[in-house]
Amino acid sequence: MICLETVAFELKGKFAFFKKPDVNSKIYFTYSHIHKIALLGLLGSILGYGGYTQQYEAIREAGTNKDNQYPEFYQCLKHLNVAIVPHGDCGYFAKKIQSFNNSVGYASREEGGNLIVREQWLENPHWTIYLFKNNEMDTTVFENLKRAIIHRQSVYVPYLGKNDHMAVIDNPRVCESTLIRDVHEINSLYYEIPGIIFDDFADPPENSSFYYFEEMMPWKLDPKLNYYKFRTVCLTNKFIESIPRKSVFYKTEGKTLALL
Amino acid sequence: MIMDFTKMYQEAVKKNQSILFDTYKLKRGIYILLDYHKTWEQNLDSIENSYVIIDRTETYVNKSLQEKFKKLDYYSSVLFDSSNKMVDLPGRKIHSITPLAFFMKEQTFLLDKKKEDMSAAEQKKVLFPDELKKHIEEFYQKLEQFDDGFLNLYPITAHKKKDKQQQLKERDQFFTENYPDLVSALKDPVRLNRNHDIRKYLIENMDQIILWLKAIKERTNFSNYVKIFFDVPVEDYQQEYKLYVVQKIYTVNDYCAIDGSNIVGLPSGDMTVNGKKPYLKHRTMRTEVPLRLSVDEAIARKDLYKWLESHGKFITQKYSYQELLKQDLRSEEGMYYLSLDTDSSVIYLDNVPFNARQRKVRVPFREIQYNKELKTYQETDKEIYDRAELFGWVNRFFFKNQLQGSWLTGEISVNQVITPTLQSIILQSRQAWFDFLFKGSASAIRPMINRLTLELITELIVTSERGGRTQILQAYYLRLGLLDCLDVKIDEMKGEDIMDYLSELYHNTDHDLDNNNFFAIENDRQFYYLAGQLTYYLAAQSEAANMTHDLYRPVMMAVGNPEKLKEQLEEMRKIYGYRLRHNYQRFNYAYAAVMGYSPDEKTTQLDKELMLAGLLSANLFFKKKTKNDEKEIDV
Repeated sequence: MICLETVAFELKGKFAFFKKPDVNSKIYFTYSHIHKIALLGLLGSILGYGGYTQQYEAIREAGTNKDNQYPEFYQCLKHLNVAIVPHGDCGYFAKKIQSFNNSVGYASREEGGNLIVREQWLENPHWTIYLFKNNEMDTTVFENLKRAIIHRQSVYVPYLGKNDHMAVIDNPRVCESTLIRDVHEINSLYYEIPGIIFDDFADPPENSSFYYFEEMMPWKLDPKLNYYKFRTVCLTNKFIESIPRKSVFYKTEGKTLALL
Repeated sequence: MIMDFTKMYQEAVKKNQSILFDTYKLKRGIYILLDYHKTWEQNLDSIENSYVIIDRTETYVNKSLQEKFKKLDYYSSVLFDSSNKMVDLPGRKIHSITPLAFFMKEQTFLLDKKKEDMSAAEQKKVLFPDELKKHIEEFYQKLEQFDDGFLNLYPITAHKKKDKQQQLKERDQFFTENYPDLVSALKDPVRLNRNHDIRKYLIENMDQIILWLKAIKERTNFSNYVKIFFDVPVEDYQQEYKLYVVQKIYTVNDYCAIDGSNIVGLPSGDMTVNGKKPYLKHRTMRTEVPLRLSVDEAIARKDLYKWLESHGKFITQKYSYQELLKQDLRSEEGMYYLSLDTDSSVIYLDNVPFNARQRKVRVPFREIQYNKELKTYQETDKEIYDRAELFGWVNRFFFKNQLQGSWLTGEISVNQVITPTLQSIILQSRQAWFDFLFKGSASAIRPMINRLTLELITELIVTSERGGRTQILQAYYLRLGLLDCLDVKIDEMKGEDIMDYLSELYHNTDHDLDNNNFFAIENDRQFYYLAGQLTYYLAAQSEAANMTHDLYRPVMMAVGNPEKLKEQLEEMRKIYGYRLRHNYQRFNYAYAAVMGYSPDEKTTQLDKELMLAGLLSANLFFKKKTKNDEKEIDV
């Protein structure tokens, strides 16, 4: 039986905004869930790693090299496996478009000085996050991360997408995950699995109906220019009839989790 | 989500190309198909079957030819209808972008005035025959120069000559391997000869073409565009289009990069790094711009926006996951919601993992209808299961039918119907209503439904004039039904239970008042209910021409303090006492009972609710005459 040490915690907040890059003309929209790179950024802030600005400055000073290929948080945490279990209404968080002004003209350099921003925010988001220890990742980094989360220590203030939305990290715990072969349902977000077959004749869970969610979300940074690379992320409560053998799932706290 | 849509759209078009052209619309003008191998006279022999005129009514449309023109037009038109994307720059006179077609506005070259009769400004806008021929010549030269422009998409970053040469070599290799059709087209003698022949044909025959067009215009008026296509295989059009589109599809080619076997860049349309908005650029990130797409993805994205536009702007459209391009809403999976602004930018989008149809809704409701025979209002219990019907009721009774068109994303202005308070309520709650009534998610509306509907009813009471009580009562029953549906209780009582309790209170109180014995209030709830009833009865005595329900406000405000409440009632009785008959026993008993009763407990939420219900529901004191009473008429 293959077991992995896992750090789990509840990640929530009043609002969240994970900006989608595909439109930027009038309203900025959010992903429906925190994506892996945003989550790594949040964990990086806990450990005090540098972000995009520090990387930009490093490139400006020393030119592009292997050390500043990625922002520090991504460089250190990119091999970390995570699982994200959304709560909310069948994994759906209400979204609302908020309008606000930034009248500090020198920051936006907007004509007339008054920038009107319209953003779509997630309301009351709540995810259970699982972090898996693995061989690809530096053990010291994982241990530091574990200690910081369990002892509720953070170098920078973690936030959900932008610093207007403080993150609440609750109920940190260490648990164990077991590799499983028989998978009948998946409780976390997972990358689209070609060949997965759902049981179309099964009855939905009691007092509920089936739901199925998919969205293209960032999963890694391009090594050359650091723009997002996308994959389809799914979430469903449908029962699985069959799933390709190579898919990897873990059982943690009674939930079947897919690694992102 | 546009990325998700784009991916689905690409897959759908791959399976069925007609999706691309089903919604494609030809602009107004005349469309002509010519064979450049034939002389103009030979073309003229069969011209009746080679042109169509598209006007607003599409009267002269030859359907089969029209379908062909749709394709040819698609592969010959400027991207995004943007003059910045033209090949004919800076002139902007020829609107086509390939050597296989010639598009020009008819007023640019079909002139009805002589040069001498035109002002200088007018002359600038038009091309006289000689100028036109010269312009065509120049246009084809520009096209030739434009051909290999795609090579510039490959970023050459080296500064030293040696490194630069190396990069240029890599560039040539990259295009030869990944875009062989574009590279081979550059030196293809057949293609070059064909383009040369077409240019020659246009220039040599332009005078006769103009004469013919003028004759047609006299016979069958057309306007806007003259679009001439040359009869070559569609594949040739596709190839020429590709040569154009690769170079023009991106907003700024400076952000192009190589990703494996693809050129990637910042797509145009709903995406900008406009110099006037410097904050849109990622200034402190290595990536610089938010998004980079391959050429195919960028083209699909452009077509997708056209397809979305064809479903209408402003109104929020819904698309199911599985049947995105068929718009079949039966799917039992997630739904996309999207609306476009006037310039086709996305102003609303959401991705919901379920379909509202899957999620059952049950709203117990009491409908009030006027019975013409009995000349009275009657209440009937019913249940609403359909969200569209529920939206109808909510819109009618809470929002006075003002939730129309783009109510979710558009501006809500104060008008004769929408008061500033109602405007504020709509702006606060419209997303939550939409989530509940269209998406099937109650998570946003549930925490606010109690406060929201109470505010709405209060606003209705304050703004309605005499006679609007039935409407308000209907809104009140809707409130109770919604509370019940969303499992929001008032002091442990569900909305439907409150409705039943109201009927019980009415009938019991009515029965007790009918007995001419001494009437006493049984409990606090009956006290508040009766206080509401008396308030309405007293206010209804007012003879003001435009009596508003604002008359109730002092009593309603005092609901938390029973003694104050009684004082306010007494005030009203003093004002309208001259209208009250001294021998109206039902009123006298009830009034005395209320004034003599002191509630045991502090005013609860349910008490307030019953007071409001008493105010709005059928009035016990307007009940028709019993044996000893004077006749009173319901209002």
